[in-house]
Amino acid sequence: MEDEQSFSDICGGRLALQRRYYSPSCREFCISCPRLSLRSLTAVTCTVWLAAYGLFTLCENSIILSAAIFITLLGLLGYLHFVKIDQETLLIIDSLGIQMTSSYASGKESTTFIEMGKVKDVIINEGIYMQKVIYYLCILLKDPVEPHGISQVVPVFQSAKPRLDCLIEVYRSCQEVLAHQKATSASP
Amino acid sequence: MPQDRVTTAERAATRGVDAHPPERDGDTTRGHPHGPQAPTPRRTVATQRSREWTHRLSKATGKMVENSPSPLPERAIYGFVLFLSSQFGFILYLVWAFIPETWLNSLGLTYWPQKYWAIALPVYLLITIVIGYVLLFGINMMSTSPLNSIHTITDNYAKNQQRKNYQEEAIPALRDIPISEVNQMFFLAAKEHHTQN
Repeated sequence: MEDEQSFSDICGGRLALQRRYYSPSCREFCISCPRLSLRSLTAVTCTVWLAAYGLFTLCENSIILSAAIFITLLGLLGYLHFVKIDQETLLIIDSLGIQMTSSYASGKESTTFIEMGKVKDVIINEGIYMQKVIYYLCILLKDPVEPHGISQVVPVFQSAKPRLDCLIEVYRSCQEVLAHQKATSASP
Repeated sequence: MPQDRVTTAERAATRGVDAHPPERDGDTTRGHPHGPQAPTPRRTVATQRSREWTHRLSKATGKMVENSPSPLPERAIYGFVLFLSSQFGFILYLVWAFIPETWLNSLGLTYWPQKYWAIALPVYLLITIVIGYVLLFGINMMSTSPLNSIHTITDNYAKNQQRKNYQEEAIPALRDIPISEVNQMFFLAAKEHHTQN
């Protein structure tokens, strides 16, 4: 069962949340960020080339122009491969664990898996980010030493940064899965 | 009744409030003992005793009356001394900066710092102030916990707090509620309200 809704991130950009409901114990949430816009790409390229042309008129050295073209191309490739995240996915399977996948614009995917034995809870936390206070979803990991302690906080959807309405949807679904997991693990 | 006025003054002083309104008795701690009007002998005694009480109590309780921003004679003296010394310092600085060395030497004053410092020190001070603004902003941003830090969830005081037993018909003790409970209260309970409505 699939469901798609549109939300917005903390800066006002459009996000799309896709929910896949595989079973009562397995759900997937996929947030897709807007693609690299042509407008921002042309703006950055024009500023870099204008700056290079300004330097060229000062120094009369044509290497600056070819260096600017080179830097723009390399910068764009590096940005697409290391920085620009197109989609972030959260897959929660109650008996197994939680998997977070980030897929970059160049096609690269990076995955993190946390097994269910380590997961204490999935919560929405408030934090200060730059000059704003934002809500973000995070996974709390259990402390092996202390039963009620928290050892680590793992934030999810870090590059998409959706707003509270989107987070509440994901939070409620995750809580249903975790409650289901506790119920099935409590009853032998 | 003079005794009543003394006891009310004492009670008011222990509560940290000025015992009598100022326009009646003038200065409450020191200074002139009599107000502007000529009170009756019984009232004079009462106001004097009440002032002694507040003075003694203010000393006993320590910080209650001395920290008020009201004008006092010592504060006037300090202010005037500061004013005179700052004006003197400024005139001296202007004399040092503007009057040529030869004139000062002819007066007999030969041991002065270099005039370079008359420009350099104010410039240093202004640049320090401007950098201070930038530095404070930067220090604030650096000491903000990142989003994946445990300090956004809990800290040592919350971990070591002791649970007090719940008593009927008493206000529950103040404690740090774990974030899971807070989340359930905010986000899961709201859904039930919505589904009910």
